[in-house]
Amino acid sequence: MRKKIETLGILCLLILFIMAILYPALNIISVSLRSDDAFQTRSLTLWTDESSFKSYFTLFLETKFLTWMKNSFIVSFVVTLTGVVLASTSGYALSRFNFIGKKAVLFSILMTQMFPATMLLLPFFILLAKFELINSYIGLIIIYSSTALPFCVWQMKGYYDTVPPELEESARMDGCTRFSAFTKIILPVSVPALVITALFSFMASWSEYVVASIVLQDPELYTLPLGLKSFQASLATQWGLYAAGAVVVSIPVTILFIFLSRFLVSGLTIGSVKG
Amino acid sequence: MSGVTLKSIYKSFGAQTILKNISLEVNSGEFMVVVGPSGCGKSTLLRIIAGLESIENGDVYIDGHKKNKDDPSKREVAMVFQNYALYPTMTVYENLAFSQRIRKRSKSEIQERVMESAKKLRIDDLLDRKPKELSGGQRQRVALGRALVRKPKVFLFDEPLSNLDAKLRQEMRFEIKKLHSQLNTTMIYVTHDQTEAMTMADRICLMNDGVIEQVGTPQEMYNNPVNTYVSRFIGMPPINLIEGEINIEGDQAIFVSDELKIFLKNERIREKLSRNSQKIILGVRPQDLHDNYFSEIKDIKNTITATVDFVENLGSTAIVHTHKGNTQISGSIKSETSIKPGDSIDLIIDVNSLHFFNQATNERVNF
Amino acid sequence: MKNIIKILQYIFRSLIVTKNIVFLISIFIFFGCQSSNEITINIWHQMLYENRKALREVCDKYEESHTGININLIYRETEELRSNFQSAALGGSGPELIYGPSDQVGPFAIMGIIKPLDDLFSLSYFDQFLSNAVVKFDKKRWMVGDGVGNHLMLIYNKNMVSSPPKDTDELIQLGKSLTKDLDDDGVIDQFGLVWNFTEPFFYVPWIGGFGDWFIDESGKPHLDTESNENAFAFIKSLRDKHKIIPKECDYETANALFKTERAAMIINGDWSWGDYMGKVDFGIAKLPRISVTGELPTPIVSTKGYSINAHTKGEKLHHTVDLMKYLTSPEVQLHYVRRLNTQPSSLAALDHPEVQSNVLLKQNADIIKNGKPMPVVPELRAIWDALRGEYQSVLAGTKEPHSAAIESQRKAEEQIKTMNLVVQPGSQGKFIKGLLGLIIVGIILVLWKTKEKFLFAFRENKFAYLMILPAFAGIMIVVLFPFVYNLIISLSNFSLRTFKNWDLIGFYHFGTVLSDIRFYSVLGKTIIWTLINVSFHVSLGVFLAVLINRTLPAKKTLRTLLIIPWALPQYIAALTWRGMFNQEYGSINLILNKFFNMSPVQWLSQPIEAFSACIITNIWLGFPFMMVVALGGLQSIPKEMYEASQVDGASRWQQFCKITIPMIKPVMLPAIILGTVWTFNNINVVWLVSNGGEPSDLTHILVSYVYKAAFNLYRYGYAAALSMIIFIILSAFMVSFMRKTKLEAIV
Repeated sequence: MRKKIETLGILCLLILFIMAILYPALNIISVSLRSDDAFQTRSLTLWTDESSFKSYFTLFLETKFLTWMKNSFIVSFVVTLTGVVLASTSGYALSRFNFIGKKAVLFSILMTQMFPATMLLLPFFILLAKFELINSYIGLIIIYSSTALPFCVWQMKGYYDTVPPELEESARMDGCTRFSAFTKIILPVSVPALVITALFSFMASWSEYVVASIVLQDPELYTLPLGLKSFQASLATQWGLYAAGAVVVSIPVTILFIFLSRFLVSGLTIGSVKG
Repeated sequence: MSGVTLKSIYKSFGAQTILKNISLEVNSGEFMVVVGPSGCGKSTLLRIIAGLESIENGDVYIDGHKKNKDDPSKREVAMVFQNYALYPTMTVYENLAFSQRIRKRSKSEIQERVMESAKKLRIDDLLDRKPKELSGGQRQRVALGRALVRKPKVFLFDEPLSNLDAKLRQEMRFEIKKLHSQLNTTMIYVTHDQTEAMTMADRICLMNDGVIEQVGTPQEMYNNPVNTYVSRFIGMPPINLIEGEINIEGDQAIFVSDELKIFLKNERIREKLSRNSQKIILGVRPQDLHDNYFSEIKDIKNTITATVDFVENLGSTAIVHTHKGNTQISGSIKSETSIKPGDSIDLIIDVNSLHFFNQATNERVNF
Repeated sequence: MKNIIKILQYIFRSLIVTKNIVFLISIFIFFGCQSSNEITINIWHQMLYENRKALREVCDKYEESHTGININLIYRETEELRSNFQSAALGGSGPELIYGPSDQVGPFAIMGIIKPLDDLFSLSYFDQFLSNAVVKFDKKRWMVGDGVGNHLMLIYNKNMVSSPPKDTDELIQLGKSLTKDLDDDGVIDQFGLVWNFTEPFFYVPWIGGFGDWFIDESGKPHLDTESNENAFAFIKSLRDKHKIIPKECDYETANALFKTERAAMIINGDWSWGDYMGKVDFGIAKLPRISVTGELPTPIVSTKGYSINAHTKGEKLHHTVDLMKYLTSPEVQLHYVRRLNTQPSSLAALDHPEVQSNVLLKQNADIIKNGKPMPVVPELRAIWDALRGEYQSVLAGTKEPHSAAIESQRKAEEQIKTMNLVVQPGSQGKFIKGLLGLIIVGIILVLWKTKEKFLFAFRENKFAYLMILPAFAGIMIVVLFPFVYNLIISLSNFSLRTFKNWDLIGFYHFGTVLSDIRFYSVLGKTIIWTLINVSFHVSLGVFLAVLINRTLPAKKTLRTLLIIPWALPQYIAALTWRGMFNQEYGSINLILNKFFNMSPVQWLSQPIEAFSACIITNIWLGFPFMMVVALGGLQSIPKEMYEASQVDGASRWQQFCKITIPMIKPVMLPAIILGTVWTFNNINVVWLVSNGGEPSDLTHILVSYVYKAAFNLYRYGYAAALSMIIFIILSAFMVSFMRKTKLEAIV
């Protein structure tokens, strides 16, 4: 009985908390349903009589939103793919092998997180301009994949550390090469961590604005955040449109999170200590 | 034919040398147990044979062929790991079939092989399960089965039973031994448990600190340990090692240590001793000490009256831990005894089965 | 430098080839399709929606009559237009034409990234325009405007105001009668006057009305005047004494209030007309005369126009010049007049009957007469910046108008000095060059010497090295090059005046940073920011994880809902929160008022409140990550431990302290390190919620401070040095933290 009351109490507490947590998210949905000029309101209700899906129609019919969405999907997909491939291989090497420079590599990867990213913009641009990668997705993809990598490499390494090395040794004795032991045995075991890595890479590219704004200059090539920002001029923001866009941008990531949340707990092992 | 030969193997991790000049010949069809304390390099040795570790020096021959640089996949050896290392994402059947699929065998052949091994190990009703749905013993069988399917030239076992409880361990010991006699394949078995070594091995290889101390049949190891280390490792309860000296008093060679005096029998001792007195380590197995009360042998000169510290009753026998003066002595005696701690006990030493070791080198001295 | 790039280039190419990803990626590439006989001219602009459409229309027309010419229009928000163009020009690219407000001419001209127009056009071309539409700087012409105006005026709703106020007394009187609480709930629903009054651009006209001007002929600040002081006091009195304007009001709020007829008057520029047309029946008027002085406020009149990128050459330049002539022609300007009511800059267009008969433009021309031209000197930025900070302090009530006026002058002068400062490379510069050379030689030597050893190691662990190489190379190219570049910049005098010919000067900037008291105050704030955020992230995360880790109904749903803040893109979340912190209309104040009966908090205009707002936002964003990590840790604790402690009679709290905490510690610590570094360097939240450090640059953390120094004040060398210091601080923190917690084991 006591336990039931306790559970009920905790449940109430959690629900209250979740309501507070979700309010900002719902708030933006509510703005997206209002007209541009009605975003300043004193009402706390999220749905009013004036609410309509007009902004969404405008968004999809009158702007290049669908093109941007396609672009974002392409970029994010390639980034996720390269991110997963690179992080899973290098994380594996860092977890399993002792080689000269391993410590240095691990530390320098961690160090990359210490430098203020904004100051990297100018050199990024100069580098891309030299390689003539301005206005192309290659430059964007290289930068996105690499900026998401440090965390992903550490994350993959942490997960591999929890996988007993006997697994691939066993596979090698069963006739696998080092590489096929990795792909056939270790990768399937590491699905939760791979999912996390994919999720992080995806997020890093899906909602990135600053780098995209210096690399992409053709509106046909814009990714979603760039497109979204173009609704938000300095002295005249189309708020309804902006909010509707923001909602649509957030939906894929949120859905991904919801679907993958069961992996989040088991796969996020940045902190797993060996042994 | 399909034996394993190691020739002066060296291996080190960084500054630490793990294996020093290891040479070992495992005959075809032999059950070789490599035994030693943890950290002695026995697992590394096994992994070198498997090809999981590289070597700096020396040669590895499997089935007469030099395999120094060969990948594990090309060595035709199978290994059973301590933690089983079953592939968690695959069912038991897939685990067993994995090596055959890698070799691209036909479906029917795989099926046949898997069923054959599964039946042998009585895991044919578990084939659809995932490893995490199995008990420890079942996992062990699957791990064995996985090796069996391969029909390798050599089986390697890396402490395969240490994660099992005592009863299961004994059962599996028997099972593995039975497999060996059925298959007649070379098996190399690593363990730290001397009982496993003694009960299973055709021959034992005892390692310590990166070197091989002695190789021989269990009986040889027990009867003729080459040094104190081997003598202590083999045999349960462990041998009593007593430091002292042999003095020649007239005709008689006497071992003296503290309050202990043992009249030795062997005539040749006198001949062999260069001086009148020599420092020595005396080894007496607890089994060679008898309770005067029950014993048929009576040897009044070599009866020690010791004080009992405590008694371990094992059912048929009991181990008495005693001391005389500063010397600790344990004896294996009949369990009918009603002796209690604090009592004194008369222990007869069987002077025919004493071991002597050089105090400086710990090497065996044969008189 | 060139060699390094060549080497990188080589590594880069071989990497791509070896990885065979070229094929994969090239499927997705859309190179700007430039066939040989087509010429594409890029224009970067910052035009609003209707203007954008009109521009496209005239460009389409041009393309029709000039086959083979493509015009590519790219929109960037004003500030971004400036900073992106700078980066692009530094990288040797960028658009052929750049369209923007005249005040960007100064910096661009000094940096040498736009071309002087004198040699490209004949004198008779320039003579076709109003003189203030041809922007001169340093005795050369740099920009030609396609319209003039961009000035502030009073726009009133004809339904609420019959005739606009002539002077400020009238304004106040009228404002009072129009500021109403319609439903008697104690909250004002309709305002007499609204405008984006916290921005200097929207403020300086009043200084003119009180007699002086904020900048003198030579471009020096003129802020320590009584006029400035009086203007400060005047605006404050409108808000606090007469209460005819809202307490907090940014541009968006003002605009929305006016459009929905919740404000009778607005001070806004000519660009906003398009937005109001068809929504509000509005009239325009001069800003009301200051009653005390009897003088009219002087809005800034500027032009927006085209400049040519310094990199444009050859045939392209020829076409660009031709296009620019077209875009500034009377024909195009008349099109704008019809579409947008823009005040033309072309004399011919001004004489056109259509313009002559346009009432709005006629009134507008009258308003412009009172205006003063926009200064084009780069120093303007420093003046704006100094003024904004002090002005916001006055509005926040933390400074008296008098001291604020004096202080703003001092700050402006100081900033101009640092902005224009060119440190000459002395002996230290030579020494540094030598040192860098030695280091490079040293590295090469060491590499050469260890070549054998390395090759051996490589052969031994070929598999491992091959596995790690692609990722490591990627990270190094993207991070190492910029890092080294920054290191070099931090030792250089790279700034506005040395944009294209900077030189190494040594540790000057490091000295400046470390001897600046502001650095320490910002560092202190950054530490507070990080500490509060991380401790809330961790405690909230662990608390929720513990709650949710027990058997609960709908556990998975609850967990998923709690993760949502993590899923939302940061910039969207930050802007939403900014909206929620609005004093009048933000949900937070509304909730506080409704449920806790609290008076509205000035979240965004008071330093401490604004900083708290940033922290609250970031806590909201950051706790789910820690919760997930903690959940992972909790699930690895065996139940037996709790059962055993229960047998031992431990209380819940003891269990938590003695079992939960120590058991999840190894999982939490690395997450805490990462969290600390991320929070320390999180510019998004602070920049977006506080709108770049408002009020008065008091909500900066180190990274936003760096951003501002680099991109707003052109102090690249200084900013790079500061970034290096941030890097050192964080690295030192990480190493010592790892030592202390014995975390090196994870490496």
